[in-house]
Amino acid sequence: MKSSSVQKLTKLSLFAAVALAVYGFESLLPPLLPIPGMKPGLANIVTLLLLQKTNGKNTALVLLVRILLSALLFGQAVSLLYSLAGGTFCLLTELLLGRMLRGRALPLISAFGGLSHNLGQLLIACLLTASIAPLSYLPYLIVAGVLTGLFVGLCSHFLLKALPKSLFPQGGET
Amino acid sequence: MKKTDQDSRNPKPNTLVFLLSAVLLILCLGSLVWIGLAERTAAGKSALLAVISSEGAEDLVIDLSAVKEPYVLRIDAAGGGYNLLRISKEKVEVLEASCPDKICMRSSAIPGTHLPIVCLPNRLVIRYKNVPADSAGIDAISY
Repeated sequence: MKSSSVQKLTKLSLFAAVALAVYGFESLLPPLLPIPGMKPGLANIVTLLLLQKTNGKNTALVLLVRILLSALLFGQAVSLLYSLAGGTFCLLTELLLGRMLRGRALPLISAFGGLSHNLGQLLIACLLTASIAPLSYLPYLIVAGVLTGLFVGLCSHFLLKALPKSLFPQGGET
Repeated sequence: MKKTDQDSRNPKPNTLVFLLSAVLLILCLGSLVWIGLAERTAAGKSALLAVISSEGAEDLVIDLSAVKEPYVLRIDAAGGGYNLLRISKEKVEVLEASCPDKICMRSSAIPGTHLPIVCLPNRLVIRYKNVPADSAGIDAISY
């Protein structure tokens, strides 16, 4: 194994650990509103940082590790499905918009990410309960997804300026 | 992100930023209007029926207007979990849930709205229905 790949593995593991810690901290916070699935989504900061600084493959790996571990540590079997659906929707949207906007307007990318995360979860909720009743929460989840996404995007924007470049795996483009 | 050949064919990022912001704004405003309208219609009517659906069981339809004294109902989920419901003339409340997040307990406590109560871990859905609005009752037999 080359030293560069060891370095990359170590750095990505570090990011996965940070994402997991943020997720764990967030799950301890009391929810702001009694709407199912509503939360700040702070762990998405790590996703955004990695998307900006490395590539989609690295980001997807870290996201997958975070989701699997968080379901094991904090969640139940059913929450894994929601997290996977939300995470996949969010990542794909952010990847696409990141390409289109060339990495600019991070809060905007993140707002769409939050929106699609919530839509993905709502879709799974409808499938699991085999009813369209959860759709009544759609307007609440749209507003929540956009607002939390904007916040997460702003956090990432300022973090990117503050963090040293050497923290991220080099040569991320494949 | 690095520039690639594909990127240069896209429209200017500034135009895109403007367009995407507009889309977000419209979505949010639309949602707020939707929420406002939904709460206004809920305030005007009184829901008469509560339809309780859980996985692997027949829909349970309760005529709330016929409930004289509030009572407690236990719903056991197929996965081993349970929800304790308090049925009263006005609404259904979730008193206790076996899942750790307790979202259904909090959401059922919102006054004035007739949003469905959803317990995702136990796959429990409680909806309100107005009898005159849909007397055909198609939803009740769709399971």
